[in-house]
Parts: sequence; C-alpha cells; structure tokens
Amino acid sequence: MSDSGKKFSTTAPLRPDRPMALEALSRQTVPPDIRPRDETRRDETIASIAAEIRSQARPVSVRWYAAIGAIAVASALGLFGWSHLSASSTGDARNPGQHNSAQHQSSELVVTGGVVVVTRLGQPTAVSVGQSVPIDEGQQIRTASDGSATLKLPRGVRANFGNATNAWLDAAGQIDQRFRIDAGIVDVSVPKPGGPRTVAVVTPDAQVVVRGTEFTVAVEQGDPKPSTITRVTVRRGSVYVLHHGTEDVISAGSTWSSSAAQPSASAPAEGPTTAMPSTESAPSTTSTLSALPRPRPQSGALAEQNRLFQAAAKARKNGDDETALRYLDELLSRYPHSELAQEVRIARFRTLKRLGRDSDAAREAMKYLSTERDGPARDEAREIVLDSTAPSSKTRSSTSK
Amino acid sequence: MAHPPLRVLPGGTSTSDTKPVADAKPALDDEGIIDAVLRHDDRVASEIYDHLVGVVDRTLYRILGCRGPDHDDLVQQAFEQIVITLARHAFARKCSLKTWASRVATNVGLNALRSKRRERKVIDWSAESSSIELEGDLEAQLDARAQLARVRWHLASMTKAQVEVVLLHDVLGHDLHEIAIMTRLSLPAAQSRLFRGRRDLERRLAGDESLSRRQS
Repeated sequence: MSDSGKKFSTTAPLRPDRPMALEALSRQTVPPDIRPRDETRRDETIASIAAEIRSQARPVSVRWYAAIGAIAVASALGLFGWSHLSASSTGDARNPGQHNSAQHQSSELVVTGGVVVVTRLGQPTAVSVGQSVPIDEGQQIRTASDGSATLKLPRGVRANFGNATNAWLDAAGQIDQRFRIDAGIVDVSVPKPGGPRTVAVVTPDAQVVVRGTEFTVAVEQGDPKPSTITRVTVRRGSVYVLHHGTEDVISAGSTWSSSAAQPSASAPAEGPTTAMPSTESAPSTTSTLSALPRPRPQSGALAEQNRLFQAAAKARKNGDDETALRYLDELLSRYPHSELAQEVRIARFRTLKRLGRDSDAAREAMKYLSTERDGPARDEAREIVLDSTAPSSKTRSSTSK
Repeated sequence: MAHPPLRVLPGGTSTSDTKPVADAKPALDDEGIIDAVLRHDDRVASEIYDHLVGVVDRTLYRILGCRGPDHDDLVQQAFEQIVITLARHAFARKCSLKTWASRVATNVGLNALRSKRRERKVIDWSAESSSIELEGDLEAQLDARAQLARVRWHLASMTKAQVEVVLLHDVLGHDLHEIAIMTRLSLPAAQSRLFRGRRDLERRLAGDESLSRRQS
C-alpha cells in the first residue's frame, strides 16, 4: 500500500487493491435526507422529468426552432402589454422591446458629436464624442443639444441621430428592426438587398415602415404643445407611412408631413384624416439636421397612455374584461395615434371575444388586419374574422360530438 | 350511495419512506420505464423518480460529501440527463437502470465537483455531514472529513475519463465489467483507466502537504 493509503488507514480495507483514500470515501454512510419540503422537491423534480420526456418528443432541430420560436413569440406577446405592465413595475415602462431577445444582435452606438446619454433600466450613461457603446433592445438614446450619434444595427442598417433627439431601440434583430422617436431627428439608411425584412420608425403620430431605402424622420413640437409633427424625407427607395389608420407610400425625393395630413394638430382625438405627401425636394442629411427646430419629449401623454394600458391589463388580470375594455376604449379615443395602438387593438379584439361579442371582435380584428397585415397577431385576428363569418361552425362541431 | 365507514387495518406502516400512491400502482420494471420514455409518455415521470431517486441521491452525496444548497438542482439535472440518454438510445440496456442512473449521477456530481474547484471554492468542510465510521474521538472524525475533502479536491482536478472509472469502481462499488458496459469501453481499457486513475490520485495525495501535516 502506498504512503497516501496509510494516511487513511483506520480499519482493514474492504478491497485491498484500492487506495485507502478511496476506501474511506466508499465507507461514508449516506444519512437520510431530513431536510424540509421533501414533497415539494419531489413534485418539482417529477415535473421537470415529465417536461424533459415531453421535450424529447420532437426532433433536435425542431426543439431548437421551438426554443427560438418560443422566445420570439414571447416577445411578440408584448401585444396585450403584459410586458409593459412588468416593465413599468421595474420603473422602465418605456422599454417594451427589451424582451425581443430572439432576434437580438449586438448593435453599436458611435457618438459623432457632443454628448449622448444612453439609458438602460433607468441607469443613464453619458457617452462623449468619439466613443462607442454597445446598444441593446430597450435602451434609450438621448442626444444633447449639440450631440449626434450613429447607431449601427445588424444587416448594415445605420441610423444617424441628430441633435436633441430622444429615441428608444425597440427591436434590433436580423429580420425586424424598430425604434421609437418622440423628439428630434433620425436619418436612416437601409441597404438593399441585404437589409432586414422591415425597419420601422415609430413617432407619436406616425409609423414609418421601410425596406431598402434612405430616409429621414423628424419629430417636431406642434402647436399647441402636446401635439407633434412628423416629417419624413425619402432619398432612396420608398417608405410606408401609417398615420391615422391610413397608409401612404412616400417615394424617393418626396417629403411627407403629418401636419399636412392632420388639419388640426391640437385635436389628436379627432377622427382619421388622409395623409398627403408633400412635393418638397429631399434635403441633404446635414441640412435637415441643422434646419429643424429642437423639439421636446411628450412624456405626459405617454405616461397617461401607459397608465390606461396598465389599468386595462390589470383589470384583465383580475378577470374584469368589461373594465379592461373601458380602459382600452378610453385609450383609443383619447390617443387614436398612440404608439400602443396596435397592442390596444389586439387587446380589444381579444377582450371582445372573451366577452362573447363576436361580431364586435371580428370588426376590431378586421381593423387590426387592415393596419397590421403582417402583425404578430394576424393569425389570431384572421381566425376571429373567419369564425364570425361561419356562425354555424360551432353548432356543427357540437352536433358531430 | 352511502360508503361504509373507514377502519384501520393491521399490517400497515407509518414510516415516512412509504409512498402509498406509488406502491398502489403496479410498478414498472426497467424495460417498461424505458419504453414509456421512448413513447414520450410523461406519466411515467413519478415512477422514474421513485425508482431512481435513491441511487441518484446517494451517488451525488458520495461524490460531493454533503447535500449542499445546489443538491436539488443536481438531482434534477441528473434526472433530466437520465431521460435524455434514454430517449436518445444512449443506454444499451446491458445493465440495470439503477446502474445507469448511478453513472449519470456520477458525471453530474463530478462536473459539479470540478466546477467548484474551477471557481476556487474551498469545499465546505463544515457541511460534510457524512458519518464516517471511524474509531476515535471527534477530533479524529473531523480530521478524517478534512482529509476526504482534500481527496475530493484532487479527484476534481484529475482527468475526467479516469476519475469517472475510479469513482464508479472504488467509491460506488461497480465491477469493471459493468463499468466497461456503461462507459462503452473494452474491459482492458476500463481496467487501464482505473489503474492509471488510482496511480494519479496516489501521486497527488502523496504530494499533498496539507494532508501530510494533518497526518503528522
């Protein structure tokens, strides 16, 4: 026996050939597990075993896709705004895109002038000219009055933020990219071919959706103050502008303004109006950035929208669909162009469906489909519409049983 | 319809180990459990747990020396690995399911041990609740526990392929033939790993100054 074996020699070895150190290990008696919560542990482990057995039912590749899909669906299910609710509870209600991790790719913000403040989960970080920082979905970008920055997104998309701009990066994936801007100016370049499927810029009163183009979106202070004016200038390709429920195609060399499409800027609750593209020639990025006034964010209106949406979500959570519907209606009537409009529409048709108001639900679903043909809840909306057109389907299925 | 009043029958037991629900069902044998997993029948989950929890718990305890805060996670991890290996036909059915579970748990425990070592965490000697059957006083027992902790430390730093065979053979008591089947090695290869693993451990223990100090 070796020296090391002698160190552990306490009794005669059970197996003379093995080292005494291992002999000592093998002699340990295992005491009974007397820890509390034994049944809970058992239940938890059994549940995990069952889940693992179920997950093995799919081939490996499908499991991977399913995992990725689940994450994507989870992010899309910010629809009814439960994500907004949870985000607000952590003091970061303005970051609905932070759950969109499925498509998330690393993005970078390069500060090209002055100072830029990047805020993540309520933690602001000042970035000076010449520096760059990685940017994640859900982060806020604020440029100072002399600040400017370039956001480098996956697939070659570039967004140049001008002075005094307040923006949020909601999605930065390979397929969809989206950011919100409630003040300032952003100059976007989307390569074609090779760019993502969609790039969207959401302003308080419009949504600009593009594929393979270069354009500028500016959000200005309206008069009176609570309102805003969005200007879109397209230099290459074309963009869709969704405004007041209507869709306009702005082609290269054209400029669109929500003030032209919105006769009264002081009446955001008024009904839809037709957007008219202007025929102004496209200015260069530099001149656009310097020529525009310095707008300020509309934090009050957004806070109120969030409050109403959260109240609806809370009511829904408590099973009070009637109250939830009231809050949703109030939100839509007061802020018809809310950036939450899409989520509100989805929540509305779901709530109406739950309340048994099938025809109303179908109407709402139709509205949703008309504005969000490729929206995340399109399948569900189509199903509701189809259900309403085939009222006897339920009867048939129940009869067949 | 009125039920007759319940009455106590002789012959029952009230120990906490009894699992009347599990016992009431006809127990599945190894083949039945494996076939159910291959059919993706998750109703067999509780049977798998009841059948294997003992061996999984004991194996992890022997390798880690205690039921630490992550013990439940490791047990769960071991069960998940067991299911995965069964579903993917990694288990050749040439040994019992308990033996296979022991091997899977050994790997899970060994990974945890190596992870602890990588994190430069001192193995929690105070948490060594093992009741080593040693003669002598309390001091001697504490000393023995400290020595075992050093052994585990060295095991965690050895080649995984070797230490797995050493643990299965010298600590968990499997014979070489069984180990060869479990690890899909030839018998001579398993024997060689055992021999080289033991030699490596002895070399490490011989050069361990803290063990020498304790011994002196």
